[in-house]
Amino acid sequence: VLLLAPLPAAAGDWGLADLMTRLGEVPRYRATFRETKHLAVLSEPLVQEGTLLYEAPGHLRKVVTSPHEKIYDIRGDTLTISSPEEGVRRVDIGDHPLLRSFVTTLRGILSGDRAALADSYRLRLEGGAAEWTLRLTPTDPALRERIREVEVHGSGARIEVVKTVEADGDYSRLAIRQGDGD
Amino acid sequence: VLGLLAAATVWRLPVTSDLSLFLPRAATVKQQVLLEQLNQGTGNRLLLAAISGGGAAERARTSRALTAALGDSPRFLRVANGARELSGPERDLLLRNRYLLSPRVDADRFRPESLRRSLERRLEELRSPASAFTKDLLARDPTGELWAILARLQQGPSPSRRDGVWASRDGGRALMVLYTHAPGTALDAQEAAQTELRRTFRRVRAAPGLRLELTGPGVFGVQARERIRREATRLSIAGSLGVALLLLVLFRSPRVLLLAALPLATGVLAGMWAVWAAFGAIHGITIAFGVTLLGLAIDYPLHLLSHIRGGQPPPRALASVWPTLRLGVLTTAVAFAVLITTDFRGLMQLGLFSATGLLAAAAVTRWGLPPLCRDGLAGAPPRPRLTRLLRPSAPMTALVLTAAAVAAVALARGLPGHLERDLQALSPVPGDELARFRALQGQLGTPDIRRFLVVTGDSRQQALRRTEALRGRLQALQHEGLIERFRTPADVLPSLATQRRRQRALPERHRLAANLDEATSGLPFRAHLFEPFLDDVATARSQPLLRLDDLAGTFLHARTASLLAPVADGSAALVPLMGLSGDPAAVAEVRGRFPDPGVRFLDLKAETERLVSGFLAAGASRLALGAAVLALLVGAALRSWRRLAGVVLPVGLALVTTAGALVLLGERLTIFHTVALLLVFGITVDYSLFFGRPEAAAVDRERTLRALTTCMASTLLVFGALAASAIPVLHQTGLTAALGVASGFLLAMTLSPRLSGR
Repeated sequence: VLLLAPLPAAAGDWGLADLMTRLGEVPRYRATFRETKHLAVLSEPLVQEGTLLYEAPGHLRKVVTSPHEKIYDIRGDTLTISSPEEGVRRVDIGDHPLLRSFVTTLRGILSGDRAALADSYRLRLEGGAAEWTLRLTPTDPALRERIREVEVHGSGARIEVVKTVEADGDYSRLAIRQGDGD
Repeated sequence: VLGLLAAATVWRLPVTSDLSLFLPRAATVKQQVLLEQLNQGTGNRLLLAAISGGGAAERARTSRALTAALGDSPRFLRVANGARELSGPERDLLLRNRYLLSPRVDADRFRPESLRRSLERRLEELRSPASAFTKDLLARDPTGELWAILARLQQGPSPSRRDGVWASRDGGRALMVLYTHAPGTALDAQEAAQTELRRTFRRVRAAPGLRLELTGPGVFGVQARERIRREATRLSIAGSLGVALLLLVLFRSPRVLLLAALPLATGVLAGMWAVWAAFGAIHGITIAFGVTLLGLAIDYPLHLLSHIRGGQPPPRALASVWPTLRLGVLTTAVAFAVLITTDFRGLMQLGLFSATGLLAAAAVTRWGLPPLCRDGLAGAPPRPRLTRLLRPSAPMTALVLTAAAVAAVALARGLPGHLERDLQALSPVPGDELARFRALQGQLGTPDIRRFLVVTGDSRQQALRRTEALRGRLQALQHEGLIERFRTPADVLPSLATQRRRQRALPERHRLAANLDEATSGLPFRAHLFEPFLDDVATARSQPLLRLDDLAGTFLHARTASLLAPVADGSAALVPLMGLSGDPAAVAEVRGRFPDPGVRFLDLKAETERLVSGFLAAGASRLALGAAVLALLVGAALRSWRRLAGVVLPVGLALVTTAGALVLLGERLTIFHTVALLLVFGITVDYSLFFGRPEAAAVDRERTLRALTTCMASTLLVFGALAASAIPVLHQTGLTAALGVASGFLLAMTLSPRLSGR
C-alpha cells in the first residue's frame, strides 16, 4: 500500500516509489568503500577501507581491509564480527539501538524497503533520477537521541554516499564505489 | 460480644504465612538459609510479563512505554525489557565505584604499556558501528572498567530480541522481567504491584488488541489466595446450608442453628487467642488446620440437644450426656496437646490451638448452652426407627471388617510410594500455569535457582572474603561445563579488603598523567580529553569503600542482599550454581571441590523435602504418643479392658481404613491429609465412647443414636463439600475427613457395643 501512495515531494516524474522500486530490483551488490569518521574526541578522522557485499533480502557483509582486518557479517538479527586478533564474536543487533539503526537503515536502503525505513524515519527525496539525495530524519525518540539525520546520495539504482550525522554533531561518511561486473 | 471478639481477632491478629511452620526450633545453617531464600530471595519477587497480539513494532513500542512508565514506581525494584541492560541509578552507582569494583584493577593496569593497549582497543571500538557507547564514556573510563564490571554481572545467555526488546523465540510475544519491591509472600503488596502493572499496560499499549500475560510466584500467590477464598467460602456456605437444613428438619427450631454454632465459634476464637498469647503471631496455616480439627466441636451441642426432651429441663439431658462427652473431650484435647512437645513451630501452634479450642467449645456446651435452652426444645419424641435400622448385624460387621482389612493391606503396600515430600505438590498452583512460567523463564534465561554453595563466616566480611577465594575454582567448574554460570554477592559488593587493595593500586594523579602522556603519543586522541579520567581516579583513591547500604534503592541491592543471609552466629554468603544438573555424580564432583571450612552445598528442593519429612515424622510420632496417652486415660476412666478395646480398636481401624482408602484412590499423602486424620482420630474417639456406653432405656439408646447420626451427617456434609473442590488443600482435607467420619462411624457402631459387652 505504501509503495503505491502518491508522492507530493516528488521532483518531476522521479519519485520515492520509483527509487525504491529501482533499488529493490538489485538482487546482489558488491562495492568497495571508504568510511571516514569525524569524532569530536579525536584530533583527526578515522578512516577505514574495504568491500561491501549485499545479497537480497537480508545478507550484508562489510569486509574492512585497512587499517585492520575485520569482517562484519549480518544475517537476520545476528551480527558476526571476526578479526585475526579477537577471533569471532556474535552480537544480537537488538542489543544496540545505534547498531540496529545502522543495519536496518543500510539494509532498508539497499533493498528499497520503504516500509522498514518509514518505520523509524521521515523520508525526503531531492533531485532527479540521475542524481538524487534521500534524507532520513528519525521519528523514533530513542533513535533521535542518537541520530540527527542520515543522508544518502546516489544516481539511478546506484548508491554513492551514506552520511550519518549523530546527535552530538559527530558524523561518518561512507563512500561507495560499485565494482564492475557484479 | 462474640461478634466483636471475632472482629477484633481478625483485625488484630498478626498472621504469618512463611515456611517457618516447617522449621524446627534448633534450625541448622542450611535451614535458616533455606527459609531466608524462600521468603526473601529475589526468586519470589520475579514477575514475567508477555505482550502478545498486534504487530512486532507495536509490541516493542508498548514494552518500551511500559518500562518507562513503571521505571519510577516504588513498587518495582527493576523493570527490564532488554532495550537497556541497566537503568540509570544502577549504571551511575557502578560507574562511581568502578575502581573499587572492577576485577581488572591492579597496579599494572595503569602503567603506560597497559594504558596504551586499552587506548588502542578503544580506538578500534570507535571504528566499529557501535562506537557511540565507547564514545560516551571514553573521557572518563578509557580503560573500560565499567564494561569489565558489567561483563561479570551479565553472564549467561541473553534472550532473543525483536525490534530491540526481548521477545519469545518465535518472535510472537514481547517479554519483560520485573522484580517487585515486596517479597512474593507479601500478597497484598503483590496484588497492588500487579494491579498497577496491568493498569499501566492498558494506559500505554500501542494498540487495543495487545494483551498482557503475567506470571511468577507473586501472581500464583495472589491467584491462589483468591481461588481458595472463593472456593472455601462457596463450599463452606454449601456445607453449612446443608447442615442447617438437616438440623431444621430434625429439631424443627431455628434456634438450634445458633446453639449448634456457638461452641465451634468460641473454640476457634479461644484457640487463636491462646496461640497469639503464647507465640505472638499465628501462622495462616495453623488457623486453617486448627479450624479443620475443631470441626469436631460441631458434635458437642448436637449430643446435648438430642437428649433434651420436651418439657424436661436441660440439666437432665446434660447429666445423661456430659460424663461421656467430658471423657471424649479431655482425652482428645490431651492427645492433640502432645503436639506441643514437638520442635516444629507449626505443630506446636496447632496442638495449642486445637486443645484450647476443644476445651473452650466443650465448656460453652456444658455451661453456656443449658441456660439458653431453659424453656426446653420441642424435641420430637423419638421412635425406635434408628435403633432397628442401625442394629449391628453379623454380616454388617463382617463387611466393615473386610473393608478395613483391604484398606490396611493397601496402606501397608502403598504407603512408602504415596508420601508427598515435595512442597510444590502442596501448592495450589495448577500445573499448566507453572509450566507456562517455566517456559517463559527458560526463554528469558532467568534460571530456576536450586543449588547453592553456602559460605559462612563470623562476619559478613569474612563470608565475602571466603567467597572471593572460591572464584578461581568456580570459574574452573564453568569452563569444564559442570555449571553454566554462577553468581556471588562479591560481584557487586567485594570484601572491604579487596576494595582496599584495588584502591591502593591506583596511581597518584601526576604519575597517572605522565603514564597517560606516554601512552597516548602518536594516537589521535584530542589533547586534555582524559582530564575526567584523571579526576575520577584521583577521587577514587580516597573515596569511601562501598557497603551494602550504598546499594539501597537499586536492583543491585536486592540482588546482593538476597545472597547475603544472616545466620545464628555470623553471616552467610550464597553462591547460586546455575545449570548444575541433578546427576548425583556431577553434584558429588562439585561438592568435592569445596572442602573449605564454612563452605556447604545446599540443594533447596532436597533440603525442603528433608524439612517436610522431619515435620511429618514428628507429627506421626507425637500422634502415636497422643494415642497412648488417650488409651491410658480412657482405660483409667472406664476401668474396663473390654470398654477400652471398644474405643481403641475402632479408632485405630478408622485411621488405617481412611489412610488405606486414600492410597487406593491414588492420593499422595500430604500434610493436609495428615491433619485431617487427626480430626478423624478425635471424632472416632467420641463415636466409640457414645456407641459403647451402656444405655438404660431403649428411648435413650434411640436418642444417642440419633445424636450420633446427626453428628456424622453434618460432618459429612461439611467435609464432603470440600472434597468436591479442585484445590488440593481443600480437596485433601475434605476427602480425608469425609472418608474417616464414615468409616469411623461404621466401625464404632459395629464394634464398640459388642466389645463393650452390650
